[in-house]
Amino acid sequence: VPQPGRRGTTQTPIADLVSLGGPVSLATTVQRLQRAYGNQAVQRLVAAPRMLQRDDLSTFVASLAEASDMAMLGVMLPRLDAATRTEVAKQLGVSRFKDLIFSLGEDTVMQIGRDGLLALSSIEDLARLTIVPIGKTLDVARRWKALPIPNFADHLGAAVGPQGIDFPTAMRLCNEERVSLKERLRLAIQRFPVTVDQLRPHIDSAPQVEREAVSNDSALMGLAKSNLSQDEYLALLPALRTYKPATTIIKEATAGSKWISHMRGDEADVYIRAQLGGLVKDAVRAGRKVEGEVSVVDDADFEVAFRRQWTPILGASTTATLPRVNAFVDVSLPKRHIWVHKDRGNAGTVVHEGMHKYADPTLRNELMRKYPGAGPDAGISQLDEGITEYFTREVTNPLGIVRGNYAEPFKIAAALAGAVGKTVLASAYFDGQFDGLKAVYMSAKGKTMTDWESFAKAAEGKQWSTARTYL
Amino acid sequence: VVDGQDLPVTIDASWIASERQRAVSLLDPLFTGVELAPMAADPPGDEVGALADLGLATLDGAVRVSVYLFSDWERGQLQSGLLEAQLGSQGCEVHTVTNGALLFVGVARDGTDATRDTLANLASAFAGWE
Repeated sequence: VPQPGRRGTTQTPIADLVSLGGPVSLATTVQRLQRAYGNQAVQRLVAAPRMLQRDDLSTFVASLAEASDMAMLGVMLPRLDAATRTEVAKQLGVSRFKDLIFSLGEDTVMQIGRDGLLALSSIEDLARLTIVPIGKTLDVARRWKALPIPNFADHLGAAVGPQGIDFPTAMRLCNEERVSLKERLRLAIQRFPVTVDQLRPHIDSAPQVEREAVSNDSALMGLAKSNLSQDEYLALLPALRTYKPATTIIKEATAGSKWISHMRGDEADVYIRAQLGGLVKDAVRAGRKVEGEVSVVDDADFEVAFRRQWTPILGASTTATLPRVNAFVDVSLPKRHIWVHKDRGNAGTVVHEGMHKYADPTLRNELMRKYPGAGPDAGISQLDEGITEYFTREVTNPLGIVRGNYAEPFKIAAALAGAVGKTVLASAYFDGQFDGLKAVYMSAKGKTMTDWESFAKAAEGKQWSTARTYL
Repeated sequence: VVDGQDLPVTIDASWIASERQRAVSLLDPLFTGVELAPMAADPPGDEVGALADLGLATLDGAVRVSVYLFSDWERGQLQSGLLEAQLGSQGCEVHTVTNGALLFVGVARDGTDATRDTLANLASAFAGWE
């Protein structure tokens, strides 16, 4: 039985034979062909009277090669009838047919059957056949030098159920085939009950341009919304660093303008750290940041996130409150993501929300526990918002961003900063040294703890004039 | 005409309508505690290059509010400074604040603390919750 490697020695049969030296007689040629192609194929040809009459050596060798190939295919695939073998070999090419049999094995090729084999003209045709294990299709593609397989992720997706491919295997194959993040996520979300934590390594290792391709693909995001749980969908948005630019009508007129949309998270980090410097050094050391924690989203996603966080707190007034909200932090959830509406607020909004991320929770928690607020002010600490806005404007004013948000809380916080000093206020806010702030307030202003409590109560109750009397 | 150039623009009427509705929601008396009555914006929107305008005033007329919708955020910020200077020079207390492409211009016509508080309250509400 001829071995496949031996065919490789006869790529230019006549030249090879001539190069052996001496006059080329049919007898010596047959002997040499027997060595090259194997005895069985040569015997078959030599036994045929019409072949012996041939004096055209190249035709003879070509016929011999074909006979040899067919003999080999017959050995490799004995259960397929000879006529079909010949048809498929003509359609696919002998070499690719042999590759197919080597990679898939006889049983799988027989399962493909005559019609399936005759329909194969490209690697993608093979990839469409779910009876062929996708790993073997990849092996065939390598032999056929047909990588990458077009629409590989789609074919992999179709094979997941029939072939029992699990999520790690699918992702490994995607890695091997360098499937884009978009196609990878589509496959994962469509075919597996995945969590964002399972997807995160793929998302994090992809370049930002690929993440944006995902978040800008409305069909894929719609699929994610329908296939993932609400919590998982809302976790996907910050994982993708979702950023939707603001609606703008005259793009040409604003080209080159800086503050026509929200800041990105990484930009906000740069500005916060540059402007506040040492005041946030411990917060930075603690790993607090905005990048990767903020999603600038459209109306629909904003509403879903808002209702999840605030309906338990605002109850019936949630719907009426929604249009008034530019941005918020998931303060009640284990992962405190920042949500920003793309068309609301101003260029300082992400800085304001980012400030909440840099803040230590001590000050806010204590104020919220003592003064939880009610109605539309439920869940808001006026003093915490005022201090947040105070440090926000420390960042945004030098950037030329005009903010009028939290006007009265800001004034009270600024007055408090004047009373205790910016550094003490920052230690309370960013590092949790709230008791230290109270101590400085009392010693600097000759006040008591009762005065502090009265101040805080007035500020939280929006009694601004009263609050000012304690400073 | 923008910056001396004729620019073809497509104005999305539904966006303008939804932004106008948002402006109304931001000034909802349920949250501000201030009843407002409709009146003409001053100055009118077309004088400041706005796509749409909305005028409101407190029932006693002490605080007057004009809201403008601009094509983008930066135009609102630019007009904010110009209108604040223009109206301030007339001796009024002016408070401006932007929220997205919306600009709030509030004018207090008397100098009482109550009017100032009302103006600050409306401006703060318009700025939105963050």
